Amino acid sequence: MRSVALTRPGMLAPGIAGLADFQQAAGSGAALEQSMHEYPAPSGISSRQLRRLSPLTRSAIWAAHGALQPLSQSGDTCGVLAGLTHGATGYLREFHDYLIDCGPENVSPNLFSNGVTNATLGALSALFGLHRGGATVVGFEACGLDVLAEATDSITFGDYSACIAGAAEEYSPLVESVYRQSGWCASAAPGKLPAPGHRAGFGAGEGSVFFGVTPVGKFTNAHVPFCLYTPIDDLFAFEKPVDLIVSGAAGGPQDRFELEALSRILAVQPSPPALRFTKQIVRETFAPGALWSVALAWDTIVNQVAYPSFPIHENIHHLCGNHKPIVQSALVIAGSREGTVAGGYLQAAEQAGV
Amino acid sequence: MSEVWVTGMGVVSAAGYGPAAHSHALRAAETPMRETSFFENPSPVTCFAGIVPPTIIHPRFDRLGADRANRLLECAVSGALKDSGLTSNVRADMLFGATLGNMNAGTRYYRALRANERPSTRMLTYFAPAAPLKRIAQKQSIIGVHRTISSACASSAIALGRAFRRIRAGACDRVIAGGFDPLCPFVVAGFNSLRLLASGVCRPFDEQRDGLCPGEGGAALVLESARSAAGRAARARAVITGFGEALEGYHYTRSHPEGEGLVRAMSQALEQAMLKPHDIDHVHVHGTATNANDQSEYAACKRLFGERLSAAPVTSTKWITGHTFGAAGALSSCFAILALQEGFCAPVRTCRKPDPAFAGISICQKACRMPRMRRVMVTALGFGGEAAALIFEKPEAR
Repeated sequence: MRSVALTRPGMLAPGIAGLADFQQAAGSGAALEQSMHEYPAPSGISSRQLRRLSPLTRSAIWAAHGALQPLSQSGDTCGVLAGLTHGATGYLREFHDYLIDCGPENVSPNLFSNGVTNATLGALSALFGLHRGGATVVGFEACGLDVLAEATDSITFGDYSACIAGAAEEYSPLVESVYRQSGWCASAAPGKLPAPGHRAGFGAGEGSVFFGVTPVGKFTNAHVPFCLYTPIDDLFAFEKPVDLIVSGAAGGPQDRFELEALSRILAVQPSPPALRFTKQIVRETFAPGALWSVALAWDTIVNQVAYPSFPIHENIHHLCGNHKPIVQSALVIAGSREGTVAGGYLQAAEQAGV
Repeated sequence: MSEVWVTGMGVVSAAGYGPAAHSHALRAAETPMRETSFFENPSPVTCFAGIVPPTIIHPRFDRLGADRANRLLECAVSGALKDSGLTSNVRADMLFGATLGNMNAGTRYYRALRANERPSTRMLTYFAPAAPLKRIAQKQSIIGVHRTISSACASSAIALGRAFRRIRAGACDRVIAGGFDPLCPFVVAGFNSLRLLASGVCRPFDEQRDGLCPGEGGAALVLESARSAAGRAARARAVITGFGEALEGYHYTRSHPEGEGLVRAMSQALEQAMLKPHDIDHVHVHGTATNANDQSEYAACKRLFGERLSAAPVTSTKWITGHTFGAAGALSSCFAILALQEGFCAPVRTCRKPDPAFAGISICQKACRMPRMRRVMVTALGFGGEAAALIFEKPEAR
């Protein structure tokens, strides 16, 4: 079992510019807007520096800045891992439009260089002076957990002394339209159930979540809140008892895989854990989707925040317990449209004896 | 720490399919690249491009847009499995690099949207760069962790490096790793907009170099712990002993003129392999033939090797295959392993007069036998400031 310490996440989504906003958004139950009209620049970075960057990258910069704060790490030893699914779809579409309308001689090189998948990683490296190394991991709805697994490898193998790891995705009306046509999201108001049969999932949203990732012992004697994180290589062999399970299920093509896995995991729990979902808060954000779940689990364990429950699908409702007064462990699961289901185990540092 | 063996190689590019075709291409006098026009009149972009021959990937595969990427990856993976003595239905992690992977599918998707056609979810899924690997893993029944790295032109070098680290640390016994990228008009237009396309066949390190030639390909290596490989009596084509990586943070598309990131990556790889610069016999550089890339690699080699710069001949095979982007690092690795196995240093035949600014570096202009070659370093650079270096050794050099 390879474990690392996760420090306080940085995050950005419509109406959410940090963990406190995330708590509030979850509690209010109000539907968030789908996309952001503007992307804030973190302190020390001018809006001019962000001017040509894609919305995806600007969003990642805010979240990565938040994740870097507790680390106080030299850029020469800090790595960066970023995940995404569809990428800078706005720039890519604009590039294609120029290409067709104006011909290849007249397309803007900026749309290409900021539209490629690695542009976000390059921007994080350049703006925050992170030089140790890194990679962009691409995947579907479970991509966020893949990124954390790669980060865990990099830390436990001793390649980086610390890193930031997260994912970002920008709102794409194109993706939204395909999802609507396929019946994967509700045509009117967002639904509340993770219900594969009901065709009432959540539309595309946007946002980014990044965590600081360090070796387990780094903050043992410091006043930096953290919890332990362990990627689960084989979710179906997972039998540890947990106080909380957080899922990203909510109507997308991944649901049939995720809910099946969820049922199996709940069935082997010695006492029913509480179950929480995140799509009701942030919609379907693809690559960062699973990281909202990790953030919810992190906040519950570290700050003992009790997130509200949403209606739970009848297939699994009877297997779920109530929120426990003290939550010390959590399991995050994320299904992916091609059929894989990834998992991550979070544990309070005290419970792990750290 | 486990020793990491390369037990299988699958490779496809403009040079052909399989290690034998690529070994032959190293010795060939002419490039398989052909002048190709992208886009229609009135403003076509014409350049030399490395296109996989239609006898290997029939043009009908282009019809579905995504299938060319899938086919390149499938050729590479099945070739590597066969070369390694494995079949499908195998347990192995898979780590592959791709830049825009399926941008052919992306282009079809955007064109459909413009034509007010209804794009399907299948089209949307194909467009995502992670799609081909997931598909091939399912098709070949390869069980394990499957991830796609998209770190621009260093993608596959980083995928190989991360796979190497995973086995070395004992986290798993076998990883199939490499990269793939089909040639697509979107990428050609992108490099054209950056004014980085060569006017003829690219000329790495030549005084007259003026840019890169786009290409396509797929390359896969089966990496195994020595224990796992020996347990099934697999032979080692080579041993990977070091990997280094760095982010330059200098410019989004241009590498540092002093090779800042690359020299750090190369130094790390040497440190991990417990080697000194003078232990490296040959360097297979990224060598795209753009001004910035070649300057950066020269500077990095000069800083690393110092006075012994000329002792390690440098080569690039972009003049054979074109720049295969996400596959480039893995393709270079395949060429480097072949060079190591055959004791042969491949020439950069299009480098007729090395740039005098690159004083002291020994660019292979003619094929030369190097029977004592024991170690070769492979480098890769990518947009976003990515730099990576890998060290391959002859098994008997350990």
